[in-house]
Formats: sequence, C-alpha cells, structure tokens
Amino acid sequence: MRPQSVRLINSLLLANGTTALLFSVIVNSSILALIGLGLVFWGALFLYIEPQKYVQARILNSSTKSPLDTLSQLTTALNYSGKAIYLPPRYFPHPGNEKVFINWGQSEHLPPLDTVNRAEVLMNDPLGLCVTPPGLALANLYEQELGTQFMELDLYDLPEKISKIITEDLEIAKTFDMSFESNIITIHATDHIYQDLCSPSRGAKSALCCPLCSSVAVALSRTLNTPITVENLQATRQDGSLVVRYKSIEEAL
Amino acid sequence: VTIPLSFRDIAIWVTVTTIILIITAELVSHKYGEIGIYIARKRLNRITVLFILLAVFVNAIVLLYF
Repeated sequence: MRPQSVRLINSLLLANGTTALLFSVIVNSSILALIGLGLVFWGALFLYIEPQKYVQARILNSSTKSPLDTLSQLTTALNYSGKAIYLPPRYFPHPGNEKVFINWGQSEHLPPLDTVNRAEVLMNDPLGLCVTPPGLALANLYEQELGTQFMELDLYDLPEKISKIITEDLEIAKTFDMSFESNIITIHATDHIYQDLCSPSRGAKSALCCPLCSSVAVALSRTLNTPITVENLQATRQDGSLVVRYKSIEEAL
Repeated sequence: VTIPLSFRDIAIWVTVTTIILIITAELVSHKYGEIGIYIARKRLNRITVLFILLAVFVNAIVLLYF
C-alpha cells in the first residue's frame, strides 16, 4: 500500500473518530463514544507505527552497486587482489574506524600493528591497500541498535544478538544463523536485501563483498579482536541464501 | 461537557483493545516470517506492553472498587 493511501486512511480514521466523539457528547451516546474512541485510537496508532522511511531494495542495490564495482575494478587493475584482512580495533587508536587490508598480488601478509596507525591508504611494507570496508557503517549501525559495542560482547552472545539485529531490528534478512568451529565462523542468511550485490566472484577474491558479509566481518573482528578473512562465499539467486565462511587469524599469515 | 462513558465501559474498551493489540503484535512478528509488513514493530510492541499494563490496572480498579 502506498504511503499516501496509508496517510489518507489514518486521517479519515482520526477525523471520523473525533466527529463520533463530539457527537457522542452532544447526543449523550455511549455507543458513539466507544466507536469514536476506537477510531481515534487506531488512527493514532497507525500513524505512530508507520515506519519513518522505507527505501525499496532495488533502489538501495542500484545506488550501492556502482561504487562497489568501481572499488573492485580499481583494486583489480592495480593488482591488489591478494587476501583481504579485516583488521581488529587494536590496530587503531579510535574504535569505529577499522579498515580492511588488501594484499598486493597474491600475497597473504598481515601488516604490523604500528604501520596501520598512520592512516595510510597505500602501504609499502607489506605491500597492500588499507581501505574502509563496505560494511563498516552497517556494523556501526548494528552497535547503535544493540546499544553496546561488539568489543564488550561475549563471543557466545554474538550469534543471538547479531541475528536479532539483522532479522528483527533492521530486517536485512529473513533468517540469519552464525556458528563457530575452532577459528572458522560460518554465517547462513536467507532472503537478504543485498542479493543483487552479493556475488561469489567479488566476495571470494577480496573483501569487497556485499555490505552484509563485510559488516559481519567487521563485527567479528571487533568481538574477537583478531584479524578476520573471508574464506568462502556462496550466494544463490534462487532463494537468496548466502553462506559465508570467515577465518579468525591469531598470528601473521 | 461529559463523555458518556463510565469507568467500567473504559475498562472493557481497554481490555478488548489490548487483546486485539496482542494478537496483532503476535501475528506480524518475525517469528511467523512476516517481514513484508512495513511497520515499526518495536513501537507496536511497546504500545502493546503499555496497554497490557493499563488493562491490568483498570481491571484491578474495577474489581476492587466497583
């Protein structure tokens, strides 16, 4: 239903309810008063529970696809196609501004702690690109919804909390599961809103997968406080399911 | 100007509205996979809880004083 139609119905409910209440006082009718009370209540309730702003998924995907493709093309053209590592907060002086390190060529190096602090984009030792991950803002939004920081969360609480945020609060996916096996973390989401953006070709080769995969990697790097890599990504268009395997790295690769 | 409703009428209205709100909140919840309904579920749940408390309160007054 269009927002204009919803607003019209709400206004009609409120107007009719107020009229019924006024007439109930004039003619001293309790039936009219009850009807008026009901109409005013439901009119006001529908106004209150109406979402503030909804953007269609196709608009969201269309506007996000080009910047992601550009970034992907740039990194590929400059040969930054190695392992992408989501760096944890301990690498940075201020939390909430984590970056992803994309290795040059096919190398798999983890940058030293002190070199990332300088806020350089192009790094020489090891050779790589240090950029803001596509899901950083989304991960910050998760924390905002959660009311706490991922760093303060217990690892065993994370699956339940993040699943609630993604499915119920932000309605990004219909279902979301997270499981741990040693240092491998697997997520399984269905019917998510970034289906058009999430392609295995983009996700498997670098960190520039869809904002959902990226945001979960950021959340994991914050909770575990260890570097995270995207090991495997499977996205099916038919049912919109997404299976991503992340790996937590303790030491240098 | 007096509204032609007694406290008992208001108590009944609040109770019926609360029952409708509980059923609505339950039916549009994510547990049934209803993610296609675009409403602020948190707000609906908040109002439902508020009405449950209100219903308990007004019915307790009706039982005690009427």
